[in-house]
Amino acid sequence: MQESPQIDTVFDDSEKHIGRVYATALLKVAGKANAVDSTVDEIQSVVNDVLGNSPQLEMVFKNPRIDASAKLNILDRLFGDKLSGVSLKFLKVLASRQRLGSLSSIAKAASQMRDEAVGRLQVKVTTAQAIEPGQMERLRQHLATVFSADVRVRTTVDPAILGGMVVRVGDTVYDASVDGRLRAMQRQTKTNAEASVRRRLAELSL
Amino acid sequence: MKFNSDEIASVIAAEIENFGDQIDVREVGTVLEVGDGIARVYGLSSVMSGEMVEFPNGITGLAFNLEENSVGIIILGDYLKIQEGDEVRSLGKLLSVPVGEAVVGRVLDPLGNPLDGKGPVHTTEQRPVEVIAAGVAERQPVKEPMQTGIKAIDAMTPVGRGQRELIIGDRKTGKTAVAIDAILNQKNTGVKCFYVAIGQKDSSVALVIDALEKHGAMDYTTVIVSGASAPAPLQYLAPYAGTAMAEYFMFKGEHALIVYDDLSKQAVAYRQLSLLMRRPPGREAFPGDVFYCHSRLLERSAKLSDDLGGGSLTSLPIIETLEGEVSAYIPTNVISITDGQIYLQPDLFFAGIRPAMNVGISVSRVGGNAQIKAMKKVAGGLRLDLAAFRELEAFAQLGTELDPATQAKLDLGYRMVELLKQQQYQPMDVAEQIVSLYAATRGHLNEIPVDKVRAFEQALLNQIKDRSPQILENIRTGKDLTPEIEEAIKTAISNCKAGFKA
Repeated sequence: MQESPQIDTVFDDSEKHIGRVYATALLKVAGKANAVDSTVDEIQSVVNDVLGNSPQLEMVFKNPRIDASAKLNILDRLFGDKLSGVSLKFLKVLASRQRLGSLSSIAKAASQMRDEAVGRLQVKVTTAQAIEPGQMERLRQHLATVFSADVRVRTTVDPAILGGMVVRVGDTVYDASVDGRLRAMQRQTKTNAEASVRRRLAELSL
Repeated sequence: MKFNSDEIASVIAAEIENFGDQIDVREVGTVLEVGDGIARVYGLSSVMSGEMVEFPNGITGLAFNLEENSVGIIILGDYLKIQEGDEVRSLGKLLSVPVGEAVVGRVLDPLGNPLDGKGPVHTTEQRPVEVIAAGVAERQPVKEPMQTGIKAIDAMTPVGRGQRELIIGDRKTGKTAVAIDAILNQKNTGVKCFYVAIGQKDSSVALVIDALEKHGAMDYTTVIVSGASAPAPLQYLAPYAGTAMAEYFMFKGEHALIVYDDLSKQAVAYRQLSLLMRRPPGREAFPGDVFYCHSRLLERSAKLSDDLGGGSLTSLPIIETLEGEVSAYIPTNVISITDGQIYLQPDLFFAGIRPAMNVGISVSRVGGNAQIKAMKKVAGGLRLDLAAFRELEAFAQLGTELDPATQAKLDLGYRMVELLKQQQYQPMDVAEQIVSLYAATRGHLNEIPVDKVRAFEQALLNQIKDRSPQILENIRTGKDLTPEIEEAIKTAISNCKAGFKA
């Protein structure tokens, strides 16, 4: 399964909105065909593997001056025998409405909505060193029981956190890294030590 | 007394030993764009409006706009150090400022950081900047006078403790001077004063601080500065922060006076924020809730009930008008919120009538309740008389022959106007004010030439202070003008007249 990319800082409200509208439709159709997972994965793969590797194709898709019929032909030639019926039809609908440029936001919205629907949680784990597969499985199971959800773990390695790990679920960050704890300790020590020094000063001057 | 470094080291060691090792749970977002004192942040999905957030380098911000996909943050500090993609964490608390006795005598920024180079503010107490004002049950009517020390104001538009009295006028009409005199007059009364400078030139704020220091007023005054070069979020927050510091004293049962100099600049800062946040502009491009911005601020001035200690917070908001236009948006708003206004006019100012108060449209809705009995007796109909005099004066300028009664009214009026002139930084004690006003309103000054009225007033007060100080003392303690005191004043006046070389 492909993962949705990191939150990027380029932000387009209307694009997001289009993404949600088309994703709702896609999931509905895929649900009828009983192929939600495979359809979403296919669309994701089109975005990441095909468009990601071929910026020219992406430019063609985004270009409104290229005729919808030409885009339909390209889709048939490229994906005609590779994609399932639902995915291909969906791409063709997009092409005929000149919305192929929004494909990546649609894919993102679709995978998010699917995760929500089946109670799947995307968890991002940052560690200082790569996690071994055995540890990884234990961690996944542990997180699954803690959040009582089907957890998908994505790992990144960042030596700057020194040790421990940082777990991110949605917007919430659980920071058990050595770096984070040192910072917290620094903050707390600074304020408390200042307060107690001041208290003693007051006691002495009484 | 000195602290040795071992001792400090041991304190720090103890702190480290006791450090609670908990997993730090935080809610985060990512900066999408930043500029002009605001940032748009993606994430922070459960942040609440008004909640404090922290940027990586310790700069704080306030969640201001909650939109469908992003959060608008106003940045309280140097926004140039924040970059796109930075992590923002919510702190789960409201913005608070340090309060307590330690802030008195200090010059602070709206976050409570010292600006006067006198070291950190030693206080452990904090109060949230935005709180809901005291309700109906927690208040009592405004009855206690808050003497400003300015004859014209104390006699005609008296201010009570817990009142909101607007000072409004064009630029350079002495608005700040009135407020500063009111602060100077609080010396030895136990009233804590707060001067909030919003969007002012730092040079004029320095002048104000200098004047306060020279007259010994910094011992009981706090100055909160967000100058013209401060970012708009800080200018917007300054009055709320100052009010939080002043409220501390009110809820302790003490009395406080706060001057907002000036709220038009705050409204402009708020307009800037709102427009940058893409809130729809309304009249004069101000956002729809600019009224609420001022009403919730001024509503926090109150006279608390005796159950709550009976403390009070009096506010003197200042509004600058353009070319005398009081019907502009912000002036009408604030006029309708406050319990009266002191209207200062440039033509009076340049005619040498200072304070340049237009008595016709200056009012105090608390009125005589906020005056001591003696003042009520001497200054009862003064406001209306003076307003009538202004009309008569305009008529008299046509050069028509006047009957003796009208001429007498005019004579009294000229002397009254002369008497109500007052030098800056010379607030007057209420007892002295009563003596002066008594002399004028009862017609004792009619033989004195108009240009000698002030000299005579000075001579009279000096004579009373030197020879019969019990008159002033009796007024101060009895607060009433008994027939005996009246007699004593009359004698003093005739004595003074005998010795006064006109």
